[in-house]
Amino acid sequence: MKRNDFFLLLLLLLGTLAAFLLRPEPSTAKAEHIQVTVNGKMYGTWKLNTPQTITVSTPYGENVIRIQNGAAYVSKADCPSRDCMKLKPVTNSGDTIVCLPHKLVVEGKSKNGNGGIDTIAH
Amino acid sequence: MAKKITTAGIFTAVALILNYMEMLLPFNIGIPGIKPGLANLVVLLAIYLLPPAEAFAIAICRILLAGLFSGNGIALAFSLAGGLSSFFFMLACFKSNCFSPTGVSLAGGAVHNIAQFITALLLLQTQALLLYLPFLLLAGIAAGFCNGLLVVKLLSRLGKIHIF
Repeated sequence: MKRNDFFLLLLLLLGTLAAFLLRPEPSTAKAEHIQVTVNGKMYGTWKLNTPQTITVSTPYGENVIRIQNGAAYVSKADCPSRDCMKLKPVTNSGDTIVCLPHKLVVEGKSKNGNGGIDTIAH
Repeated sequence: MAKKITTAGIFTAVALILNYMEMLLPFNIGIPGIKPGLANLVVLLAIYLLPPAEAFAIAICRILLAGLFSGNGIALAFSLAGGLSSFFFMLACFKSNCFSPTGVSLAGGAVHNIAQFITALLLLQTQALLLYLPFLLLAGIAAGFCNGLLVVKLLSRLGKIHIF
């Protein structure tokens, strides 16, 4: 029985490798604005060049997003684990902060909307 | 019947306590939501020691009660998705008789995280979540592996006790 375990482990590790390859390309382009969605639906967009505070209040809970120095982060949240407050601020296109219990996604976007990298030649 | 309820009750209680205890462990890897998953260990023991129906009852009860105690509705949804998927997969692996408890636990851990990931993907509909998938898988595999080793040890001891 032990031998099958190894095959299973190998299969899972290969799956993990595949998952690594599936990762969206991290962009080096600075984000110009953030897009906030709740439960998959658009909540709003805010430019990153103006310092501001945004309170996202939904039936799922409340998060306060602070935009400062061209970056956005969660400064206050009432979710149990407050993981969203510990994540790195959104600075580049494609960066995200997610609050899972509140179904909140804050994503950095650039003007043309598809990140800074258009194609990669190897 | 009373014996069945008592046995199931004990298993469920142990699972719930482990749920709390693992929060005490300094397990901060920086990726939100990664836990040792010791409660899954209890479910796996139940699959090996008890009839499937009772093991299922234990699995369902510990998910619902833990969700109730945590007071977090969304967490309950994720816990259900992960816990139920992992339970049925582990039961299938157990019945197939192809793997040792370590392998079953391995599969259970991975399936648990995959199911939760898919749930998150469906709810949040953002590609960004894919960034976490490899780490989720690795964590599930690692936790499943450690749990599996523990279960092997426990089974060798508990198997000798003829209460079940």
